[in-house]
Amino acid sequence: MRRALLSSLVLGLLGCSAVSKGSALSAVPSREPGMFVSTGGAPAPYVTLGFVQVRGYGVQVAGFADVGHATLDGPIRNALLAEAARMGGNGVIHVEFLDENPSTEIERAQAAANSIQNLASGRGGVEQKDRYVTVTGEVIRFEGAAR
Amino acid sequence: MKRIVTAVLFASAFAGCTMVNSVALPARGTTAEPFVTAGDLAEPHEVIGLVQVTRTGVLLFGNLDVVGTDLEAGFKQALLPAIKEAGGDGAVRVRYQMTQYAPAARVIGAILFFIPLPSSVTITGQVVKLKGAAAAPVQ
Amino acid sequence: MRPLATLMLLLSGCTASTFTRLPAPEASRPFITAEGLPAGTAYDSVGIVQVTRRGVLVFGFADPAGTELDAALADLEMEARKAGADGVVNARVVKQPWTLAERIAGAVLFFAPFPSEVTMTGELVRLRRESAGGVK
Repeated sequence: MRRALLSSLVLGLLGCSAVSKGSALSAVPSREPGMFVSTGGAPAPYVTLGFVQVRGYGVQVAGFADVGHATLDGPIRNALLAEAARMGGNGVIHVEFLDENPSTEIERAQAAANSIQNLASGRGGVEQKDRYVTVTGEVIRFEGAAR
Repeated sequence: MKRIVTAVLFASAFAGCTMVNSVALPARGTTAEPFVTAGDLAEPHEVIGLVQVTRTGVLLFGNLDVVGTDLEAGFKQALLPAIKEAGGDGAVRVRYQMTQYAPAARVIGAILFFIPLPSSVTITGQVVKLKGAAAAPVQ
Repeated sequence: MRPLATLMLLLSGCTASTFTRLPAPEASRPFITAEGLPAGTAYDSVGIVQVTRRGVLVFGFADPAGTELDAALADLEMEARKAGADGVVNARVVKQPWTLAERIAGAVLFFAPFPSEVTMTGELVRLRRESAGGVK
């Protein structure tokens, strides 16, 4: 218990950063004919069809294996665009995203070490952490052939 | 190693899910309803004020949203009436956030039915009134 | 007892704010803005990125881990450089606020450091050559 508290304090003092990345969104002017996706506005006149919120859920196992849909790309590329298409849209603008609880490198290493230690000692199991990513966006349809 | 692989496989079976909620609104100019956009407005307009609406409630049995705390209720039953009440034609720079539970949490909520899951939707924005030709009424 | 109650009352109504100045535009460093690019600017999206810094506040005020906005801003700039982007647009900040009252409480309860976290998100962009000189 004392060792866990001490290690938490040391980790907190050291601090660390976590970086979550997603693939490229649409270019302006758009280079591809598919759905237009941007964190900003639209480059051409449009009508707003509605709004979408997507929350991807996943699990991080032993600090290194990420399974499920808690990535930046998953909810955007799959659920967000599918919902926009279902609503009759050909674009999603003002996309905002938040990886709610990313793990820093030190936290990942600590989870991996704890998992190995638990397995070696036969007490406790593999550490798991619920992960969530939330994405929102405004579904639009460009007027005419404008892009 | 075997236990780690088992844990990964077990997590894979239950972790892969995405919750999606959306609201479809009438296109601007097609109805008398106020318009809503997450962006700005190119037309001349007057800023009337800022608005925040929140609907809070619980999910009974992990699923039944009796009060209406999703985007549909938040936009149509809270935001649009608030814009009308403020005398606005629409809202710009709209941001929103609603509670979305993973299916596993909903199943637990159904089993522990005597503990309803708290749920809410909050929408903020800037209420505007159009000026000049842009303010022409919808036919 | 009464001065303590008055102090508690004064400290209970607090506002927490934090500010960091964005670096002046320079050709040698990526730009970071909370807005989009001016209309008509042609660009390619390089990707979206989120940086999160997490640590603890010691004695309510000391931030040895660097969880203030300027540290996150530096991380975001580094990510833009690594990705070969010209800048970051539509940047957003999420910072866990601690009011003055809470920080003072943290100083008194020095044995229990406060968690502190800052997150910045944004879209990495590379300007197309025809408009690269026009956006500063």
